[in-house]
Amino acid sequence: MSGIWVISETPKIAWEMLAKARELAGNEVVTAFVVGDYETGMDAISFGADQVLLLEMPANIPWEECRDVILKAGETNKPSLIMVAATRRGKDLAAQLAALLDAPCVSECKSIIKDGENFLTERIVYGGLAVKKMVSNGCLVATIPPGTYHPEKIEGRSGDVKQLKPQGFKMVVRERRPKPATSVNISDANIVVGVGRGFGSKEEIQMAERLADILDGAIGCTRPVAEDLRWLPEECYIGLSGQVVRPALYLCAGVSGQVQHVYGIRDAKTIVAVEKNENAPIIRIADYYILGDLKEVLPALIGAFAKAK
Amino acid sequence: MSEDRFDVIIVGAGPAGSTAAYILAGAGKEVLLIERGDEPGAKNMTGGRLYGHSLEKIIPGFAQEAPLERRIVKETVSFLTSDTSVSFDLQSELLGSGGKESYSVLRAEFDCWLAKKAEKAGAILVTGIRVDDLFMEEGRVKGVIAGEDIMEAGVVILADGVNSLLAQKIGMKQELKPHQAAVGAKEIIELPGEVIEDRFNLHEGEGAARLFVGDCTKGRIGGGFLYTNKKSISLGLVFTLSDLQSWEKTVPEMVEDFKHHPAVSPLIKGGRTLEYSAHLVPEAGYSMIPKLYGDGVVVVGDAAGFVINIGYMVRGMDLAIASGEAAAKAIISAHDVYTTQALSRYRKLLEESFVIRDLKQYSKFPAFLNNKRIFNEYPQLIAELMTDFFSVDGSPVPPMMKRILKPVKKVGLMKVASDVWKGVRAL
Amino acid sequence: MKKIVACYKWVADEADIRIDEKSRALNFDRVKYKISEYDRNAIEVGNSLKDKYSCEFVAVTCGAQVESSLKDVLSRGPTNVYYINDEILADADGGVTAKVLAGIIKKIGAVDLVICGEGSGDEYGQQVGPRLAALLGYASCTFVTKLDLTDEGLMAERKLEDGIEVVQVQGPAVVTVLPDINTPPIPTLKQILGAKKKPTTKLSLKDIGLSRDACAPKLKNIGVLGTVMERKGICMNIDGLSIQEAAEKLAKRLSADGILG
Ligand SMILES: Cc1cc2nc3c(=O)[nH]c(=O)nc-3n(C[C@H](O)[C@H](O)[C@H](O)COP(=O)(O)OP(=O)(O)OC[C@H]3O[C@@H](n4cnc5c(N)ncnc54)[C@H](O)[C@@H]3O)c2cc1C
Ligand SMILES: Cc1cc2nc3c(=O)[nH]c(=O)nc-3n(C[C@H](O)[C@H](O)[C@H](O)COP(=O)(O)OP(=O)(O)OC[C@H]3O[C@@H](n4cnc5c(N)ncnc54)[C@H](O)[C@@H]3O)c2cc1C
Ligand SMILES: Nc1ncnc2c1ncn2[C@@H]1O[C@H](COP(=O)(O)O)[C@@H](O)[C@H]1O
Repeated sequence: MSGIWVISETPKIAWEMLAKARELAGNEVVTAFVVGDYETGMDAISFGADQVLLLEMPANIPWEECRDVILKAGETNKPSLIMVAATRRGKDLAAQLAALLDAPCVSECKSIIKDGENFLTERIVYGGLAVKKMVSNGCLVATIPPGTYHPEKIEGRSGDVKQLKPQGFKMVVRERRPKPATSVNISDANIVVGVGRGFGSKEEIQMAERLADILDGAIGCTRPVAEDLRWLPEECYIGLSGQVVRPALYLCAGVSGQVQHVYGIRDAKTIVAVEKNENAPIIRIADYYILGDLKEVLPALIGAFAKAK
Repeated sequence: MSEDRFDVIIVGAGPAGSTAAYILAGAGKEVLLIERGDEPGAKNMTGGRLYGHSLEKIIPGFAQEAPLERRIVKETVSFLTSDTSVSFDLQSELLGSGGKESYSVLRAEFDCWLAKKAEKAGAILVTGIRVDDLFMEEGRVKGVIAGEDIMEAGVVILADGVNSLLAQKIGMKQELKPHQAAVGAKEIIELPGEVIEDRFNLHEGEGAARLFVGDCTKGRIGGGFLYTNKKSISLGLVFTLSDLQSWEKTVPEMVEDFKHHPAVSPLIKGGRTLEYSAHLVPEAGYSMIPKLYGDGVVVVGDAAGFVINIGYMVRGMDLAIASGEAAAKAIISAHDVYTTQALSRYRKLLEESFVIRDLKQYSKFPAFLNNKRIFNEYPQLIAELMTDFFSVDGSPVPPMMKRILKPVKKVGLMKVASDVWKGVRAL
Repeated sequence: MKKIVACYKWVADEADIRIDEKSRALNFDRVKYKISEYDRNAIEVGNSLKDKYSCEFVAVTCGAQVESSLKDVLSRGPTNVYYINDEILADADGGVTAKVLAGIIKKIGAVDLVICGEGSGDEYGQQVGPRLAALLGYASCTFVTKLDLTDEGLMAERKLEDGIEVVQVQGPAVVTVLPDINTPPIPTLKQILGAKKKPTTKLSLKDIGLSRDACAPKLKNIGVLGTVMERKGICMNIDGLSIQEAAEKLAKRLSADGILG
């Protein structure tokens, strides 16, 4: 068992993972499975791959159906580590590969250290409450969140690029509806105003928007506000399964502060909460809080901040 | 069990409801016990002291198996002014023996245990369901309504706590007036067991109860309490609702202030608040007992107002348990005919028990408590008196009588005398 | 009649887990257990398909202490629950869990559709679903927000990073569902009472032909460390301050902290 595989549907995450794979591989072979043409393959080589297998998927087949052809490629040589981009498709594929290789799979792996024959890994558990350290023995599958590693282009590398021909699919795509492009980017904002389910209606969010305007900040929200109520775009939701923000100020209202949400605001310098229930968990993790109805508190804050500015 | 019918449906799995369910199921009745909280005890609160006598009668030796926190062996009453506290201590083995045992309890665990006992006896417990209404036919209670579901029963026991919306809905009870209820607020503060034992001078398993009168309610009617649990402290306040409106501070703020009082803060130092809760306490005692039974229905526990509240001390769980027992017995002896007539035995059993006796005994107490001097001027007076006794700064010491009379004169000698007299008579 | 299985995990309520500030160890003393949040969506999908097409619908779970979950899950619609309760599963990783679940599902036999949650509340590994598909030889259809049965299989809408993908699946499948697929109702009194009369099917590892060795996790847990945050926890409207005053106090505070420009 030797070698490392890097599997990604997008070149950029492949490059990121290749940087780490190179570091872990030493003299072992790094194989990249990427989507694209010869050019893409050569790029992967310059970012650290020794050989590239191009996955050409028919347009109407979901990419993760490449499972079997990848396994086939590995029949002769089982790798010691398979890194897969932790996108939704990637997680699906990684878990299936792991099952068929009877290997463990570390989802959204935060760190990998090689320890002799073993790998030490870390990931987040209990909704963001804790970090779990694990050790694995034998082939390990890990999915790596985008942005975990920095891609590094190395001059003068060479390697093989080959084409794979996937087949035998169980799913057919009937329609694709691309997500409307949004310009939302809250991960770099210096001030974020957080909206929770405590807002009674979509109209009430205007108060949060006013506040964000005055503070020159961005609007974020909890998962149910984006996914169940659809009051704000999905890029806005903060937390374990959403965005992680690191603003100087996170000011939220009507957010109960469940662990999964709090995971995304842990590194905010200051947390301010507006909440009507004094037992809500957000109260325990706020620097400052105002107990009261947000319908009353937000207008007061808008007034006070406008004056303070 | 037929599809939609039980012999008895009990609303509320507090001490009153679970006790009734335990006895009725044990007697072979088909019992449905409905609790709106996700677990029994999840939704209710108590100061935290259970007087064991009434449960001991029903489940002898219960202290061996119930999740009790500590057996209370030490009682302290403290009179507080803003900067001073005068305490009376009673530590005695007699406090915790011979049927007078009392224990600190946490409701989340205790209520679950009691409800489980009822389940083991054969009752069916359903949690996470709120009974919205009573199902009536021909002017008699025939069952309960929860959401879209109707569930029929021979008789319904209302054990749904202080406000009993259900008893109000069928006109057995009026909405509580502010002067008939007090509000209690409490925090559970986590501390290691050894710290608690050191701080309160206790052996393992032993507990302390502390009551506070005076500054903690800013001189208003009510008081503070503190009970030691195994690994936490229950700390809270009780005050009359009618007083509340005139206050500048909210209830959580009052609790916060109380925690910072110099007599209290060392006791909870280093502790972490695990939960905060607030709840009503029926206060008017004997005079507000509602209609206790009707065709197909009986009312027990807090719902029936069975609470003795003497300002700084609240006693309701032992009454709730005893009234649950009385209701169960009355229902068993009614032999499946649950008319008003047949259920009147419930009242009779209560009259024969300590429930009505004790409520009567304290019946004048609420009126006596309306005298605010007890909560305001007297703690001040005691504090001044004691401070005076123990302050030595080299200045000439006045004679004893003069020392006592100086602070007493501020209140008025006659008033003090008459309050003492009234207090004794009320008891 | 199609046969549908929903898989649910019985997890510690993460809101009850406390973290010791010094050792950062997790404290499970006051923890209650629950059906993992998103598995309630999975169960409700099965339940509504049962009603719509009169399918056979059962639930499946495995773990070390799952018996207290049975009444709860049955009140949510399935007509039976198949489960394995074994101490050895206390340390199960996604790989072991999927093997056990696949064993139970094979034992049930001729299952057309398996529904899982997007991810479990404690591990959130998002892997047991697709692993099951691979082990059963079923199609894996993940992150589904809309689902309907067809004669040959199913139609589903998947939500992916870049948009919606409508897929058609031939033959049996494992589907994982996102929470926006439905709003699971709270069980009613009659549903809870009805659950008490439904059958449960207890299986053992032996019944599904899995050795204890096969249940040793390939990922060994070598430590869980809680994350702690130091926060000030100052209430702005204490001491009887009005909301207005509290807001102004907060603005001053934030200015003093150098956060407001
Ligand atoms: C596996 C998993 C992953 C998850 N990932 C995420 C994630 O990434 N991000 C995320 O956000 N969630 C996530 N969740 C969901 C999370 O558990 C919570 O359900 C969610 O964060 C709660 O959102 P909320 O605070 O808006 O709503 P609620 O919990 O309903 O809180 C609303 C709050 O508003 C208060 N309120 C109501 N009315 C008013 C008023 N008028 N004025 C003031 N206050 C008011 C209420 O007291 C309450 O505290 C995840 C869950 C799971 C199981
Ligand atoms: C601050 C405070 C301190 C106290 N201190 C003490 C003390 O130290 N010692 C003592 O003995 N007593 C004390 N008491 C009083 C004691 O807590 C009560 O008397 C006792 O809990 C009454 O028991 P119960 O079973 O009648 O009602 P509860 O314990 O209130 O139980 C009623 C139950 O009914 C449920 N319920 C209500 N409505 C519905 C519905 N519609 N459908 C389904 N379920 C419903 C509730 O969720 C609850 O579980 C104190 C009370 C307070 C508030
Ligand atoms: N022990 C288990 N029993 C039954 N189903 C499970 C179990 N663990 C995980 N699942 C299912 O698999 C999904 C994904 O789990 P996970 O991979 O742990 O995030 C869950 O939402 C459940 O539907």
